[in-house]
Amino acid sequence: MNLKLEILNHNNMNIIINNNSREVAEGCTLERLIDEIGYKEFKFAVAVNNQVVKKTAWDETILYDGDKVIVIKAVSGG
Amino acid sequence: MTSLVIAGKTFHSRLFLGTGKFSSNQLMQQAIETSGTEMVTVAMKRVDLHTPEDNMLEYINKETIQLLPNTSGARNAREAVFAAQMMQEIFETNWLKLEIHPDPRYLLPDPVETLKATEELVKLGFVVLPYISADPVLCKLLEEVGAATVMPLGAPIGSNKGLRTKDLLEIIIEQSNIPVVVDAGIGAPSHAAEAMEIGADAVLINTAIAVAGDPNVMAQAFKMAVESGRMAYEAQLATPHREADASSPLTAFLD
Repeated sequence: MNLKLEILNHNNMNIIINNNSREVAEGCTLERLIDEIGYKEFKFAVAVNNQVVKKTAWDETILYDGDKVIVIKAVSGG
Repeated sequence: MTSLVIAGKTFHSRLFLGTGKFSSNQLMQQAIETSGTEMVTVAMKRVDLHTPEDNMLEYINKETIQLLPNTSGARNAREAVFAAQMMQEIFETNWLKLEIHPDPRYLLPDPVETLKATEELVKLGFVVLPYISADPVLCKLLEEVGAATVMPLGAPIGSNKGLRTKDLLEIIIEQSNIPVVVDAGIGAPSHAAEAMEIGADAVLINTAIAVAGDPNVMAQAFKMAVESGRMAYEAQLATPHREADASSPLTAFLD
């Protein structure tokens, strides 16, 4: 039981997404994270640690423990 | 009426519309269509991961409308450049309303950071339309670093006070080699007509239409005012005089 828990912990990590902590699997890509968020009808812009990551690079961007992810969407404005 | 060209793109309507403050996306869409506008401003915000919302972009026909994302929320040049790059990802355009106002009370734009950001963003390939105070010297500096237009304010954002900066706007219009768009403070169609009559190339309206009792009819009123003001400017207005100048012959016919 203890061993199982240890493996589970070992395989997960925490990232910060829009100021909220979220547990993701180790080796999780940005693409997978955005999939998990859902709302497929939206077009998102994403930055990891304040660097904009273009959509074409989401699948090759691997997240690391403690990464800060910002996900932004379109809204109305003047 | 002549067309307006910004960064090589032709606009038949000289009314630009902000999309904020409408009570629904449907009303916004209606006002966009009625106004005849070909350029609307849009913004961005962090996604609320728990509350899905309506996707406002579905209400804008991108075939006919140029999106103008704004950097509202940026407090300095560094934040504005970051915002611009995020915007480009979402809206797939390199057009940008550069807006840097660190003070939330009056929302007055920071001239130093705006100039710095314009220079950097132009180098990065953005078409930059900076929102600024009505400062003729700043306008020339922005022109030199490659701004596509200047967008001086008539009065603070959302104040509906009209052209409080009229004398300065006239100097800006006289000196500018790039289009001048009066942005902010226009609260009534008469203000918009006044801006067009003094030679502004376009006006950007948001609050006055969005919060009107009937935004759709107000959009129509602004459309007419902008067209009317521009027509008057192109037809060349008569100059004001202090004394009367008779419109009828004064030769005597009663003696």
